[in-house]
Amino acid sequence: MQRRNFLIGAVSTAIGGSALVGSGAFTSVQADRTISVNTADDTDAVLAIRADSGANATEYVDTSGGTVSLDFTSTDSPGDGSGVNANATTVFDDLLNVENQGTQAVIVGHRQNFGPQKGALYHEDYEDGSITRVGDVPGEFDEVPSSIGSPDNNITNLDTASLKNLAVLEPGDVLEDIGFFVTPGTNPATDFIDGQITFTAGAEPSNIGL
Amino acid sequence: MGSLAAGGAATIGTGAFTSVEADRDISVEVAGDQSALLAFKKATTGEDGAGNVTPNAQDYVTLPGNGQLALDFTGSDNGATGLNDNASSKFSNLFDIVNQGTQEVEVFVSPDQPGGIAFFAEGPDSNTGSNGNPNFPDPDNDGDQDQGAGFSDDDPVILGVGERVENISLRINTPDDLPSSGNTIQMTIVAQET
Repeated sequence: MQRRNFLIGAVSTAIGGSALVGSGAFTSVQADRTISVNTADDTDAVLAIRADSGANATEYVDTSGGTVSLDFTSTDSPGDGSGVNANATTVFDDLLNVENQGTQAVIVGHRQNFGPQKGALYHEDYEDGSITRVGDVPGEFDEVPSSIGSPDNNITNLDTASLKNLAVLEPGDVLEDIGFFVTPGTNPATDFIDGQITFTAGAEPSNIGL
Repeated sequence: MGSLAAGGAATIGTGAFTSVEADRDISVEVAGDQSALLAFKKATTGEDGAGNVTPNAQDYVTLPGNGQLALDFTGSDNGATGLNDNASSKFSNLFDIVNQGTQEVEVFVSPDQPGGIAFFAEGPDSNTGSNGNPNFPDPDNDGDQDQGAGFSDDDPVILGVGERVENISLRINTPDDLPSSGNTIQMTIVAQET
């Protein structure tokens, strides 16, 4: 926390003695006040986006620049893979988790600049049942990858998922085990060029474009 | 002036003088923001200051009893140490502005850099400002007030005596809206005669 000195916009009234009582009229007030703001790495920000623990996160998640990025173009030795298979469904579990470090419950999801049929993020937080959904739907989220064919479950894509199935994070809640899948219909060499995923969280559906 | 008639009686009623110096008092009191003529208060969950202070106001608004309003987004009570970079963050329900003067004023907030942080507001007793609502004029005709959203010098809110703009919110885009150096941005709150 850093505090700075203010320029004080003094509010002055110059009215003769008894006329002052009860008048309180002012022509104008101009007050300068400060806003302190800074950015944090994704891991420490208001919406914290972190690499999960485990081999997939180590391999495919890069947090070095302060913002998270995913890279599936190669694997380290001894894997020596140099990309995903063509005409295949490839699933990467346990890449990221997202924590609400704000002050109120938010609906969390993502948008992507490549077609929803190419692939998407999903989460497996159904496992411990600690995360609720907007619709407070009883039961558990479907398992991935069995639900890949029906993007209405724990896929977090705000453009395809039903609102009632989106995850709600109370302050301090973490949406865990966020993964990514690539579908057979994609051409990995071209479909994800400059691919971008935008995490979006908001208190109300209208805050996140829904 | 300056010539005096010789006769005694003639001086009566002239009162000529070269200078007079008289000290009189002007009473100026500086009040804390919460009780000033243009009062700033933490946003609350109810209407017109009713209810509890909102979670966002609790976390991000500083308003000491006899001091000045400040907003602080360098951390959160839940462990954040700042805003996400390359992100657009909106914080709702931060503070209210109350007209405690005796005449109607138009009120707006602007940041110290053009194109910077955007402010939003809910007008007096209205959560859905519209151009048809006299409290939400739209002088630049950009339609902002249709969403009850705009709250800049282009889109002021009209406040009658005792009325308040509630739940003032702001949006910060990073890195675009960050100061070029340091971590402090100045916002200017203006109230003026309509």
